[in-house]
Amino acid sequence: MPPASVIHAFTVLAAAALLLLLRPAGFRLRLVGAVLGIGAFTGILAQLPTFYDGQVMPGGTFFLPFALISVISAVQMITTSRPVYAALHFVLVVLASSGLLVTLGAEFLGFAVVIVYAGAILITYMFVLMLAQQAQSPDLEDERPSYDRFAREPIGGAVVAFLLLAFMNHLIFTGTGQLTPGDSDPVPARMAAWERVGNMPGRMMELVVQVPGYETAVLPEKWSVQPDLDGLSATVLVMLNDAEEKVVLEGELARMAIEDNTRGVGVALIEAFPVSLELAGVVLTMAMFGAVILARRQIELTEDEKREASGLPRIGHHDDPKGGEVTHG
Amino acid sequence: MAEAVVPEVFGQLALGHYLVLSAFLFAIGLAGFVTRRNMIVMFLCTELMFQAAVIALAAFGRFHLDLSGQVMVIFVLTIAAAEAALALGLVVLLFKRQPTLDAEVWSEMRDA
Repeated sequence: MPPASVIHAFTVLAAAALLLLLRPAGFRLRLVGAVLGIGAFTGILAQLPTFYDGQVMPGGTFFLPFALISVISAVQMITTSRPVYAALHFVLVVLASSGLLVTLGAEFLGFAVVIVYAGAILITYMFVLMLAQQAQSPDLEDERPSYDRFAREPIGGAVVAFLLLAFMNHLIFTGTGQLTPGDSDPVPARMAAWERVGNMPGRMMELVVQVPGYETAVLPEKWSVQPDLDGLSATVLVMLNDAEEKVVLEGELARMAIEDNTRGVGVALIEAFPVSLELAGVVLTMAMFGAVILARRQIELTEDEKREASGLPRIGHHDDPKGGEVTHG
Repeated sequence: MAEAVVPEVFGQLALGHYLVLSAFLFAIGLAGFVTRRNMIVMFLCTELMFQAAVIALAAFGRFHLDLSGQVMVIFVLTIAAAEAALALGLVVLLFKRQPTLDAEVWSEMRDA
């Protein structure tokens, strides 16, 4: 644990750098700010202990490039005066953090984040940005609008954000050392994965038919998956030519069976959080309704038109196209 | 599948590295939300804060060798998508009333 003053000094340095970048300053000042900010960020990272209790996180050499790309593009995103560039820089943040997710072993999320964020959400933002800007620029000579060029309360914003950052850094530096990492013994995880395979007979048979000699094997009435002691292979009971046979899944097939991030996340999602999954569906549906209701055009119907729509006769004079004197506004 | 043995060639990372990165992204997003005046960029900054949470959740999940962290990221994605749909609907609605994206225009909350 390095002295807290060092970490806080780096945090203050980062805040100063962000302030320099938030002001509409010249190229030189921006360069100073960028160098200061990158220095402060890597300085804080360098103060961290390398691991706790032998628990090493994956990433290695890939961490620093991805981290620098995401932080630099995040700063660019909040300092650029062009909203479209801000959106594009956010895409860069998403791509870099998707790389980090892949190095963390979350391949499914790495791709899902790119598809959902960069593919769907950012495109929607771009649509709205272009809608708004097209209607707004009367002549091309006009400068960018002042609300994009000047920051609102840059000092206050930077102070608040970096106070929070200092607090979070304090927690990270004092707290993470006390956490107990997950059991890094891989055998229980492999056993759980084999149990998962046993609950998915279709997936199990997919793997079994790849074993030479078992191409025509079918699922028996009572199948079983029996992993060996270290979980690196498993014996599966299948039917071959109307006779029960034991087949051993090992090597590449065993690796395919147990190292499956996408299936693992799917099973964890259904098994552990079924109600949350339903609620997420409800939230998405309500968001869709909300968006439709917000975006719809308001049409003022006269009283007679409403009556006509519900199958009632008109009240006003039939020869009067406006609906007579009964209706108001 | 959280595989524990990952070949480590250069350097060693701890949970704190990912958390510091996540904290930086969150702070930058917060600073952006306070300082930017363009409504759409303000909402983009909230997405940046979501992204910071995603990195922290995935790192914690990897640290504890538990897939729940990744499942939480799926819910974060859901909320982010719902938030984007509603926020952009609101922005379009506000833009119809006053053709500017400046958030200051709406600083006096009254019937415009």
